[in-house]
Amino acid sequence: MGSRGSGWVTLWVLPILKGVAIGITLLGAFVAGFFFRGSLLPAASGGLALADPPERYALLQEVQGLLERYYLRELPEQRTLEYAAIRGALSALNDPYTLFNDPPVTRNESDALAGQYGGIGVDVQYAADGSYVLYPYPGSPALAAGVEEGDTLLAINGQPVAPGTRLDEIVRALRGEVKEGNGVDIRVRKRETGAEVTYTIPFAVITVPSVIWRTLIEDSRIGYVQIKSFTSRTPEELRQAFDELLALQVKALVLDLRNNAGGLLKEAIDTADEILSDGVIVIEKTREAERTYTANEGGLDAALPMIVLVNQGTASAAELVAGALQDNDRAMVIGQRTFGKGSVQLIFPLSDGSSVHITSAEWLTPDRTPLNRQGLEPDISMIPAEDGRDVELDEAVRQLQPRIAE
Amino acid sequence: MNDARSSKPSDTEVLELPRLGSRREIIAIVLALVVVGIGGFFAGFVTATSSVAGVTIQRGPEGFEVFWEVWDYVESEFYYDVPDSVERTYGAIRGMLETLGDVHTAFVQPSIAEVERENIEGVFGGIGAYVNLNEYGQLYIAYPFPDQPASRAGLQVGDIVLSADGQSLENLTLAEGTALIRGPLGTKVHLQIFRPQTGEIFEVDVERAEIQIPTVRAEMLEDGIAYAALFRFNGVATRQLEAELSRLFARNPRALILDLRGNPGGLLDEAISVSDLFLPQGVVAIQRTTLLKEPRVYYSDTGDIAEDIPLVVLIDRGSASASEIVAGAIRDRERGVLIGLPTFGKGSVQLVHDLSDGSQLRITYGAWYTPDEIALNGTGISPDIEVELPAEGFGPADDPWLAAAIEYIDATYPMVTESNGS
Repeated sequence: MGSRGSGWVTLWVLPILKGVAIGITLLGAFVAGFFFRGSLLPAASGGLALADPPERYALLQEVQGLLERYYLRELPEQRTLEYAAIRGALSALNDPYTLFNDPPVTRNESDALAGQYGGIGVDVQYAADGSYVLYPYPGSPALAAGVEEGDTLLAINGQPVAPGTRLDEIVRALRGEVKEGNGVDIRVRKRETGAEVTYTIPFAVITVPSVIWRTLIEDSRIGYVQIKSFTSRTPEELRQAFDELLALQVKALVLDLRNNAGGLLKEAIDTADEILSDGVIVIEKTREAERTYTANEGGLDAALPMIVLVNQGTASAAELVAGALQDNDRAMVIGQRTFGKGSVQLIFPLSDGSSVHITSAEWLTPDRTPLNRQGLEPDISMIPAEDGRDVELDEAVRQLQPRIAE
Repeated sequence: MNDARSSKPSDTEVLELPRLGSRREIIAIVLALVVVGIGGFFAGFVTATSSVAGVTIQRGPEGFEVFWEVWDYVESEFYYDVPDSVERTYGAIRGMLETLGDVHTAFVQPSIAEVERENIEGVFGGIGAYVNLNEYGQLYIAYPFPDQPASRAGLQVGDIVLSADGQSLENLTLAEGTALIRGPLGTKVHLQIFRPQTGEIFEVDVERAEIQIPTVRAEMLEDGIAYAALFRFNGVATRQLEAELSRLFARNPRALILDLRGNPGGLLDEAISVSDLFLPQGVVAIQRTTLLKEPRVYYSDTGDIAEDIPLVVLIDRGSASASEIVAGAIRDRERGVLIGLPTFGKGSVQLVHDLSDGSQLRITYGAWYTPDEIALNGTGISPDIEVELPAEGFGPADDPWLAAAIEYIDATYPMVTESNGS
């Protein structure tokens, strides 16, 4: 994979990514996880041999030339035509995961992959009356400046926030590169007093945790670890989670991968490696070769009982982890059949700030179960409760309690 | 008649475009792209420009660097089989054209382009009906020609074709659907039909025949009313219509019904000269194109055969393009009364370009306006007297629109009888 160092290797699910791109990401609630190999380079076409331009251009050039000469109305911008041509060409591949992202979506995705972004650290929520309400994160520049939970956003940099403004536009305006002098002015109506106040807030690095953990209220001997997505920060966060929970003397673990849409491949493998001490994690098949990833020594104590929770929203990198733990008999899997995405995408940054995802490999679980479309079958299948009860977690506790050594 | 064409520059002249190559272009006016006639000819778009080999392209695809970056990554990295570059190129072209938001600017790949070329040349087996797509993208019978295979098999206006020879037409373009229905002369096509009025679904075999659709059908109705239906604006439309009118006028009709229902259009010259048959000197239509700064105005001359007779024009949603030029001119010049349903609204003009690999590109390059500067594109021409399709349907012998036209003539131009002494 040396030649692919310029790309990000990802496992994720398209619909969720779209959601991320459209605005969920911007709330700070990332759902896609990733891990990337190498670093994100500004452009990556240098190493590829290009065919002779005149030959490559022939038919497209004909069409473009004819449109420019004859089309009655104003043509869209060249960029718009080009992006549409790219999407059209990719649609001929019939692979929903090979896709093109324009620069704004690419930036959001990069933020999501990194698990951090430059911004003021607020969650923006759409209120029933059509306004946008702010919820600053703990320790964020927004909170430090005086923004309080429930303040209504009125204007950004002097521009009123009109009703109907798209959430992703607002969130984008509240983000930017972290450097001296960069920031944003926002005017808010205070929830408490109704007064209008303007704050000048500098951008800072806002991290988005991908892992949350605690001991269960119903049984404090059981540690609960939820991985929301696989970002570049996930392995470190997971180590911290395990360290803290083991320090609390937990006797069993629940690893919650429900609604984890995937993310970075390497981070997913590292996650499985954090838990396993040996055995195959995953088998990756590229066009030319097959590569087996195995666990290194030094995982969690194999005697610590573990249960993995999955559902239909468990996809891609999350399926990889669940499959590795299931096939190595390290954990029982409880929940619903998973999404079923067994392909790997490389993300290539392009010269104008856009990017392309290209399906470049497929992966198999250690038992060589193909994932595509089938998904993983849990060891215990649960019908999700309609009354909001967490039946999967309840079942996990029920399964774990007898196995906890007194 | 006076030749309307003599009063304006020729189409050929207009379309002698810079760098279109040495070959003399066939007139490239596309009048009715949308209503493709399965049944023969399809006067819709005339045309064809020179082969593209002759086109000198000045501006290359600058700015397409990102496209080629993606292309290269796909070729080097894509895991599954990469479709050949032709498929990807066609996808790119279609994607690019979609952003224009103009359904008439379209790419046609070689296999279907071949069908289109046959359409224009007129050698193929069809079922003898106009077809079109409705708002749900379903292919329906817009007009089955009398005594042709489709109408002989019992197909009616509005019938939706669900499949042809077992292949579903769902999500297919009009050109693709047409290609499936057409086929070798003498064979039959097995159609599955949905008839919305009755809700029934049935199957029927329809012969593919060499369709001989008349250009004009003219007759005297009862009570001294002349009736002339013009089915298409082909190269003999004006000449034949004029001859038929001349024959009917010898019997001193008190009024004329010109039937343009289901007429999808055809040649520009014929649209102007047909209009001229009915109009004294004045503006017939105005065309604006990409290539000319000034609009081009088409005129009629005084001194034609049908400039004075009371006139009713029947139109419907199948009247498109050239038909709309005629109807719009007659309305704006207050020459006659339009009865029926709003017309299709196809007032744009496409150039059809043959590309180097055998595919075709149709580009909207012009738009039509009536003498009162009303754009023909989009909403179409509304009738002066709108007659809806009867909710209960109507029998094969009935024609509610023709009945409305006769009723209007009787009310407005009462029959002169022997007994009243005039």
